[in-house]
Parts: sequence; structure tokens; C-alpha cells
Amino acid sequence: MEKEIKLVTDINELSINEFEKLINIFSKQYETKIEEYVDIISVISNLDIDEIENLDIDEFKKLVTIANDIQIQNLNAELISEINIDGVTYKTNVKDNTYKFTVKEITLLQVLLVNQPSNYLADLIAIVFREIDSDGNLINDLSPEAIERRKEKLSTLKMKIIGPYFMSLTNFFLNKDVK
Amino acid sequence: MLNKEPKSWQDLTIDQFIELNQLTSEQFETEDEYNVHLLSLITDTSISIIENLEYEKYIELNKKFSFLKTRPNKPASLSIMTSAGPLYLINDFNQLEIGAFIDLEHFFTNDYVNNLKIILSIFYRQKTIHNSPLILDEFEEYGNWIYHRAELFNDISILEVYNIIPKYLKFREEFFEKYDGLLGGPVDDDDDDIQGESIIARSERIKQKQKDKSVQKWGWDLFLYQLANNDISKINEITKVNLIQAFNLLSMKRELGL
Repeated sequence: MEKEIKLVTDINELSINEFEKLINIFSKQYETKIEEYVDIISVISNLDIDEIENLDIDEFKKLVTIANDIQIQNLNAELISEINIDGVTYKTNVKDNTYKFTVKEITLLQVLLVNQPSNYLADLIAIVFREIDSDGNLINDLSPEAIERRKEKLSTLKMKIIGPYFMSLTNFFLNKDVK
Repeated sequence: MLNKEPKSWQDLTIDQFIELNQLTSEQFETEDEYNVHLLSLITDTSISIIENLEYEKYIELNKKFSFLKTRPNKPASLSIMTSAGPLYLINDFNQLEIGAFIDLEHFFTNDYVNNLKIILSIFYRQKTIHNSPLILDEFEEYGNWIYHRAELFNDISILEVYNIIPKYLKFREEFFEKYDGLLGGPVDDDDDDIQGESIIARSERIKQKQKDKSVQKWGWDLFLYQLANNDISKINEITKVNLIQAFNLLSMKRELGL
């Protein structure tokens, strides 16, 4: 029986892991475009490399058309500042639909960008989303243990939530370098 | 939000300046981490408060405190008020005693920033002011109080005193140029033969080299011992002799072979 192909067609529905794999593919040099698409499709579909390579060429072309719609500029831009996971509320410091990083957050993220430049999104989300205290204020705990604890809870979030923070960080460093 | 917002070096104390100099960017993973510690130090505000500032606010603060990238620059104050009373600057370094000069050598060559308060206690002295056109005001003699007095300088503004350092370093350089050779030149281990040198000349040269090595080894102790006419009981007395007199006297003794 033929395997049913399941595809993620919206970049906002990707997980952190899938998104980071895509970013790595986009920044890699491929000898042929086909090799690049094989890798992209292996991330956005439930097929492995062997299965993709054995696809009928017309079937492969259909998947390439869908893969072409997966673009970073299609990431959600609206910052979601509150989420609830397993009954725990996590919030971020969003003001007027912009995220203003604190000095501590930037310091932590700078180190992450140097040490693990291709897989820092789980840390980013565990840094900006934090539990609230009894007064509803964001807690300031950015200790390695607290970040690790939150990473475990938040790493299943989709790019719909993570994307705007990723873009905020990218814009922050772009502007910082320009200044 | 911040406990203090210094506007210039005038608002920073000597203690803060020493602490600032102990911080180096190499101690931190990022430049920002280093700057956070600097800001915390000069504003007397906890690191966690600075870290929780919005980054844009932090950038504004860094601009505000850009004077930290310069060095304090103002002639040193001729007098300063400490908790123990006024102290006066020996502004003419030629007036220093040989003992003070030797101690300064030690403190300047072993990290003058960390030793700054001790150095200042050598330069700033009590003074007897006669208020008379006939009698000169007198600085107190150099004594054994330098460590004891160092704490008096904790809260003095760094701007009031800092320029003593570059001024003294310049004086020191010119002084050593003037008395070049008196304390023995650099020791080199090159024992190669010099072409055409006689055996006697070579022997003399090696003897001199060995003597120079000994002079370097014993340095200032030998200097004082010779000044005290090889009388160890007079060394303390000799340390109070004026610097210029001491060097001139030793030059004369060496030249005349006394």
C-alpha cells in the first residue's frame, strides 16, 4: 500500500526543530537544486530521504511547488504575549506589539548565538516566555536551571508563536550592527 | 532607578576608579556583560537592576557615561580634605626624599592603579603653615604611615588626584635618563669574545659584568648602604635625605671611588 504523504504547508506550523533544520538548509551550498529540495521536503513531510528520492518525478514536482511556499517572510508577525501550557501561564514583555529585549536577555542570547548559532530558538523562547508571580508579574528568573525547565515545557510550540520573537531578535541584531 | 548617576570623573571616588580598573573585558563572555558590571559599579546599583533594563535604555546610559573611555584630566589638587584633616601635595617631585622615591619605585612598578592610595599617601603630606614671609611652610618628613593613611583616600574624587600619575611617570623617566648608569645598566648574558680584546681587558669586562649583576640584584639596598657609608645603622637616616642630594652624592662617590 502506498504511504500517504503528510505535508506542512505553512511555515507557522513548523516546530522549532523543523524550522531550525530549514534555516540550515537555506544557508547551505548545494551542488544541485534537486538535492536542496529533497532536504526541504524531508523536513516538511513525513517522508525520509530514501522515500523522496524514489518518488515519481511528477509527484516530486508537486512537492517542490508546495515547498516553494514555505518562506521565512510568511512567518506570523503578530506577537502572542501569553500562552498556557499544562495549566501554567507564561507571558512575555510585549508593549505596543513590539518586544523590547532587556540587557540580561541580550547578554544570554549573544552567548547562545556564538556557541550554538543554529539551534537557539528553544532557548530564545524559554528566555522571553516566563512564568508569572501571584501578582501577575513576569518573574525575572533567567538562571540556567529556569531556562532549561521552561525549554522542556515550551519546545513543542510552533513557529506561529516563536516566529515573531525570532524576527524581533533578528531585527535587533541587524539594527545593533548598523548603529 | 539608579542609585547614582555620575556626570564626569569628578563624581567617581578613588576606590571606584581602582575597582573599575580591576574589571577587564577579558573577564566576561560578551562586551555587554562587561559594560553591565561597569555600570553597576559607577552607579552603585545592583547588577540585576541593570540587567533588567530595556536594552535601549542601557545604550542611552552607556552614552551618558562615555567619559569612562577617557582618563581623568585635570591638574592634581594641591590640597585635599580627608577625614583626618587637610593634606598637601608635594608638587615639586625634586623635593621627595630618597626613601619616598624608592617606595614609589616599588609601588609604581608593581601595579600603580592597585597601589594608588598608598602612592597618594606618599605625595600628600601634612604641612606646617607658618603664614610668615620669613619662614617656608614645611612638609612633614617621610614616615612609616603610608599603609595606615591609604584608607583616607577612599572617597576622594579621582579627578582631584589622578594627574599625579602621568606627571610623576614623566618625571621618573626624565630622572632616570639624567642619572642613567648610576644604578647599573641592563644585564646581558652575552659572554662572546670581542674581537681584538686582550685577555686582561676581557677579564676586567667579565668582572664588571658580574659586579653589575650584583648591583641589580641588591638594587636599592646597595644604593642606600653606599650612601650610608656602609654603616647599616644609618640607613634609616639616609632615607630622609633629599632625592637629588642622594643621587648627586652617590654619583660623586662613584666617580671619585670613595
